Amino acid sequence: MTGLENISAHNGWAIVCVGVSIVVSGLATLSFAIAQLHKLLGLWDNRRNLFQKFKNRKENMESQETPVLELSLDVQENIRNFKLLTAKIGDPFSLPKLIEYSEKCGLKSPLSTINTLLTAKVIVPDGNGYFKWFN
Amino acid sequence: MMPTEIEILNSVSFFQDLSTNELEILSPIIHRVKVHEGEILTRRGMPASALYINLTGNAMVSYKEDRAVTLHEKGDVTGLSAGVVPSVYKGTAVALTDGEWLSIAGHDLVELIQGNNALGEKILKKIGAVSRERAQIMDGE
Repeated sequence: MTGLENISAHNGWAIVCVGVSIVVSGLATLSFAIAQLHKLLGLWDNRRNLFQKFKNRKENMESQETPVLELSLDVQENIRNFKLLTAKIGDPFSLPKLIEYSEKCGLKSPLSTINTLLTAKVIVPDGNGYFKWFN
Repeated sequence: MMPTEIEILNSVSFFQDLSTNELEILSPIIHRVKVHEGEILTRRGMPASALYINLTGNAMVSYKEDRAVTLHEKGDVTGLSAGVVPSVYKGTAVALTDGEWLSIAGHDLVELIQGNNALGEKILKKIGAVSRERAQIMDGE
């Protein structure tokens, strides 16, 4: 066999199609890359500004995240003790009463501890002059 | 006690809409007071001797029926009855932490209100606004 018949017999057309596809794909990719090259060069030239913007955005995101409050072991222990007291006083509870009972029980620094819990919104006002645990 | 500088008064929300001239009139009668945790600023039923404005402190003011409000922000006020004569405090204010407050003696405040109509009226309005906000809690209704 010679000529086109020979090509057909040995899968020549399939090989041609594959070859052409590879070449065309390669050329298309190369031409696209060359077409975008100016943008890549622009990014490279402005890399310092971009890095700064990225850094600023990251810092903004971090500052917007709700800070995780880490309470010391002493404060955590006082929370447990206060919760035991408020279980007796009731909920919502009177803050002056809570302070009075905690002083009688000998809890350490109840005033500043309660202030910590208020500013951390662990204890919140109910709007009627009484207070409640946030969770 | 030293009179308070205008710059400090300017930074306090209670005085923010007052002009520099008005602040200069007020400055000699406003004094900075350091308080310690547990210190009593006002006691319910006692003569209202001074008005207190928060600079860096935290306090709890307790009223009838064991109701209370807590003060944490610069410019928060307690001792509201000091602007009225004769008057007694309606609440007991105790410092939750060490801090600094501005105090205006009751008699100075009354003299200012009686002597300077415009400024006195502004101060009375501010005191009145805070009183209205806290009326429900103060009166226990």
